[in-house]
Amino acid sequence: MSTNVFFSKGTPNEQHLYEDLAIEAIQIYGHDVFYLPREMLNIDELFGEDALSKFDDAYGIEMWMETQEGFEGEKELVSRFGLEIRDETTFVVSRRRWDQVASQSSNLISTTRPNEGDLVYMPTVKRLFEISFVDHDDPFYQIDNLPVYKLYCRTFEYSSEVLDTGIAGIDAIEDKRSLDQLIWQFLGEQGPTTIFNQQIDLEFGTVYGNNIAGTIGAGVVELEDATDGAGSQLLGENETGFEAVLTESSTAEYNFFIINESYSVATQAPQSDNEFLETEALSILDFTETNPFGEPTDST
Amino acid sequence: MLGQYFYHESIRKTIVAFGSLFNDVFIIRKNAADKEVQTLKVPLAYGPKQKFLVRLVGDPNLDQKVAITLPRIGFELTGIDYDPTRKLNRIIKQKKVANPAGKTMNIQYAPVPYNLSFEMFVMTKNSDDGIQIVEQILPFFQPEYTVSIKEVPEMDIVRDVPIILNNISYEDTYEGDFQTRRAIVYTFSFSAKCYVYGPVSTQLPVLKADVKSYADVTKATAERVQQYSISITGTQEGDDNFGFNEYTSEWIDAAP
Repeated sequence: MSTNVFFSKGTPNEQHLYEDLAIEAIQIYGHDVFYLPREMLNIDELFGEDALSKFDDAYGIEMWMETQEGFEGEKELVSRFGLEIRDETTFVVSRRRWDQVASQSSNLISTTRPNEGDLVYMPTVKRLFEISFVDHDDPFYQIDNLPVYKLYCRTFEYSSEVLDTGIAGIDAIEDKRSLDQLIWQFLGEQGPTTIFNQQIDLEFGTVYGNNIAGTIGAGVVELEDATDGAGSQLLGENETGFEAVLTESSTAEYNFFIINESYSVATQAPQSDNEFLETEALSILDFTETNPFGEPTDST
Repeated sequence: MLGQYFYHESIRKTIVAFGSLFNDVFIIRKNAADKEVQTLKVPLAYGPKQKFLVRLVGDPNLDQKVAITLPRIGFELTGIDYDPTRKLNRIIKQKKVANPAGKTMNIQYAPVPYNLSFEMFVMTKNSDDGIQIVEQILPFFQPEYTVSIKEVPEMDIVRDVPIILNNISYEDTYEGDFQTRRAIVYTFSFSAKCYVYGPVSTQLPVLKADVKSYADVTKATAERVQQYSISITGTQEGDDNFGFNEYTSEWIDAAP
């Protein structure tokens, strides 16, 4: 038993024409968006996640927004965690165009198709979406081919992922919302040689001054509460070509970074009450008596 | 109420004290070489707020590009229950010299014990973030952690308030279709054993006392047999180390 050979459901020429028309339609009615492949840096095999995911590529490509009337989903809502914007939409992208533009990325887990977990940034609406599901067979083999992918997307739940794409509108999200304190730390210039606990010197300090053991050199940078001869100097991190500026009390286990004063949780998360509670609690809590079952730092 | 205004912020202070416990929770993320590459301070907020403020503070310029920033901790007061096990005699008075120069004292009756119920919610995007937060909280509650709160400063009342961790529930909606959001939410249930205080009244100190004793009070005209008077000496100020003058009069036969 076989189908009637005189009635074809799609020749290669028809399929190419159909695909060309789909691409043309998307380029006419669609939007320019950026496709951001997720780079996995340290996968947790137990929990099946990568908290350090990074997005450092952005591929400009046209996609058609299927929800033309606006976003779907629950949209803006107030939860116990503050304001959430649960917008959802569906993007349609040409297979051929995606292969041409984005499939070359080395960050893709699967290079043959868009990946769930990758991001789509739509500059027109200034929203960053995460692809929750890639539907590969809708429309379903109309002329025996599948010319498009449907990307079901929802607004991204940002958890301090590194966004380093070079696109200002995207990278600004990290600057504005990342809770990572270490991006606010003072860094030393990347040196080519191995330096261990190297003092940080002012530019007018001399090499001779630094080499005098136990002497506070003329150009050494110290904390404000330092006393002469007792170290509260700032040191380079104990590694090749030090990266971070640490206080001298840092150990191999605990590093005490110097953080830019402009860092604030309230700035990065405007709806947080951390600083309010800290200030308010100072006048409410009483620490005049040491509680033997209280703060562990009192047990020294 | 009952003709007098008072507000010692007992409940508000307990809320602030409770929230401040979770103010410095961090998440540290390490790379494959086990080197610390991210240190996140977890935002904390009291949940119930005016909706317009949530909108205006959260997205003032209508340019919020993401759904939410995670991880987050939210908490809220969920119940106020009377605790009869800590009930004190209602006529116990707390006294404090209010104004030595003005010769006045502050008087306050015994507070009433209430248990404040709190729920605290931890929402994370990653499972490991969640358990990092949980593990920083649990060891401090065995099952209570006690904070000292300056409850009524004008009466110098500082009280230890135990905050008890009752239970934790955990929700991870990882199952289902791909278009449903996964939410990792830990819910902590706490009770804070606090007191709610009544008004502080002011009264002058007792400077003199007279005691008259009668022989037979069943009679219409009872016969007084003794009068005892005591009065203070000195400047009669609140912080004065004063002495006493005592007088005793006795009637042998009948009252004058």
